[in-house]
Amino acid sequence: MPRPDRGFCLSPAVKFAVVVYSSPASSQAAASAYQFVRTLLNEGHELYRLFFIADGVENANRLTVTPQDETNLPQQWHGLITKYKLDSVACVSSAIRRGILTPEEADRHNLDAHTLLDSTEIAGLGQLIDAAVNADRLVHFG
Amino acid sequence: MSILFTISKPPALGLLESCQSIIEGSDALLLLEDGVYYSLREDLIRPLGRIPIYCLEEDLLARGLAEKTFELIQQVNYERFVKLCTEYSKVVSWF
Repeated sequence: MPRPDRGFCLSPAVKFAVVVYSSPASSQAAASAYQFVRTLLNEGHELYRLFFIADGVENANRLTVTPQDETNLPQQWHGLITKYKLDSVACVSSAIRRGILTPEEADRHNLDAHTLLDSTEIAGLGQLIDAAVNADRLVHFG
Repeated sequence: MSILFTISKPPALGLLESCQSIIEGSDALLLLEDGVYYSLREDLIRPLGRIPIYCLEEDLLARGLAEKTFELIQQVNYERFVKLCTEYSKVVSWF
């Protein structure tokens, strides 16, 4: 039996960064981003960073409730981020104005609940610039 | 430098008209989400010339358009979408 021609059919792994601008409820873009990230990981590529910005921070809202026959995108993201130990970041200024808070931010503002999934961190736009510089491809979904 | 342009909003928003002047012969266009409605607009797609035009097949199927495209449109799945991103040196998204 002939041996598989190693290295001939395999394309090299590429380092992606993905930016999500839309909330799960407002457009298809968040679901497209999820499909895209799942596929690139399945194909053996690397995700340098997942960055939620503007309404996209709603993808990391742990209190999202969806009807039983619909998919809960924040929970799906959480599963994927946890499984692959992805670097997932929500833009801080987008997040807090929409009530997407870490326990620390909730404390700081004297609020009684935190809403950010614990698989996602909160950070500034510097993390987006860093992703743009260090990833091979930056892909936006909005 | 070749660029993969993506459009994810319907033709009514005029995104293709906005970006077509910066699309060059070595670039390509990928249509997804409501952008797949451009597959009904041969009048807007054909003037782009010989650049490859890709269309996400599951978004076409979801809108009942998979059988309605014309010959310039190449239907692709997510695996091919990811691969296209690696084949072009940049991905520029219009939405």
